[in-house]
Amino acid sequence: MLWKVKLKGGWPVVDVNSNGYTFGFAFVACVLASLLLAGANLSLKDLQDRNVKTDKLRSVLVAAGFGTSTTPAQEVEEWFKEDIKVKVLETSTGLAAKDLSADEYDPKKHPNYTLIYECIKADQECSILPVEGKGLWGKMRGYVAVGNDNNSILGLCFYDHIETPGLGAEITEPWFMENFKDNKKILKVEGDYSEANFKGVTLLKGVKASDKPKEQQAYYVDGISGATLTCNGVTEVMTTFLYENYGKYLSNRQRGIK
Amino acid sequence: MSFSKSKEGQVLSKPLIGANPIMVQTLGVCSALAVTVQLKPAIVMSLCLTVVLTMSNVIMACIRNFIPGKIRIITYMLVISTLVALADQILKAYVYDISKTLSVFVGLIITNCIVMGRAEAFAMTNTPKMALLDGLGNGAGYSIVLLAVAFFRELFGSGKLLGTKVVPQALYDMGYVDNGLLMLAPGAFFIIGILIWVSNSLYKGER
Repeated sequence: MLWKVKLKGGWPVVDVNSNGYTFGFAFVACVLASLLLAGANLSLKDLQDRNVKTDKLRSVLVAAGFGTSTTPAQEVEEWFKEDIKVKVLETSTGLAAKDLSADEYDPKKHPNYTLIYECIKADQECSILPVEGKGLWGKMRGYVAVGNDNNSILGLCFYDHIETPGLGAEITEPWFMENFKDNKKILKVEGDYSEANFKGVTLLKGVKASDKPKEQQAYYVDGISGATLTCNGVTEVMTTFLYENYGKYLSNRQRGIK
Repeated sequence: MSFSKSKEGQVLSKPLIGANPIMVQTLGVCSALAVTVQLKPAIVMSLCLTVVLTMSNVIMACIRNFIPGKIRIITYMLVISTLVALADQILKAYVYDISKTLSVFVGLIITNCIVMGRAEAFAMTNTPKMALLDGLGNGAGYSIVLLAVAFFRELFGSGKLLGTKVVPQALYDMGYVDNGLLMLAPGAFFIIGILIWVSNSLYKGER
């Protein structure tokens, strides 16, 4: 026996401080807790996955300005039936992948490819590009929508990040995202997609975008106080990342090569 | 004997000011710094913490006679983290929007000293009913301080309350500037310090 059993009125009296009982208690408690969590996770996984997927697609709409964070799931699906097409892009050439379909695409197996969205609805044409960058605590993933002139930014929406609430996490707040809807541009001179001409959008620290000269304001937005590292990550996304991954694509698109 | 004088009433009301978890017991200060830049996350955090604290207190009081003394602390951790993780799973499945804002708080709740502190100091030696009241009382005490700190930080740090601008533009035009220090963690230290000072001098003889 692991612990001594004394009987008192027919019931065993257990010494809760004996080693045997301690081990037994720890084992039972751990098994119970893990069963509970595993059970909850298994039974709720489908629902959770669906929520995550819808949320990701919703952020595509938010970036392009077609929806808000409260757009119902059904409306989100509607958009992706007709108006928004998915495309597998080979980032090095900026062209659509020939022998890879969106269903087969797996980010782990195909690091040189990425899934982008193009809206083909009349007068609302734009491309919505997945972006990722380094925040303070981890990766930030989101979408940037670029207008039909392949130069102006329509919006930026992050759907996955672990930044500090109230500071870095403000990147998903309406006031911050609104900054990117205010006629921002990525090229110094329209039509030239060389690295030197690719300016992107920079988040400012200590100065306001509205204090910059008028012709410069298209390339700057206000940063977030107390979230310098998060802002640096967003700047990186809106400058280097955009150029390296989508410079060729935007250039091709501008010249009519699809 | 009125309720407020009864033992139950005391357990519920004492943590509000007299034995406030943050101001007097100095527990849970970490989260009081982290989530008080604005009122909204502070409200959410207050609600979450109160729910988790009350549930963990009740569960702990129910099984208090079966927990081996040597591993009691780790048992608190197990119960608290299971509760929080379970709640997070359910939120993710049914109210995804809310869970997106809440998920970041989950880790903060598990490590919040108030939950463990109350389990050790109160729930282990009291009945589930008293533990329930103690959980609610301490949750409310924590919320009062959190909301007060968040109120001052958001108002003077960014001139807003609950995300709406309240400081009039005219004041800015006259040269008023938001206090950037309040947006950072040290700003919260100052406010908590002032709160402790005020409460100490107001309730000097009552402890």
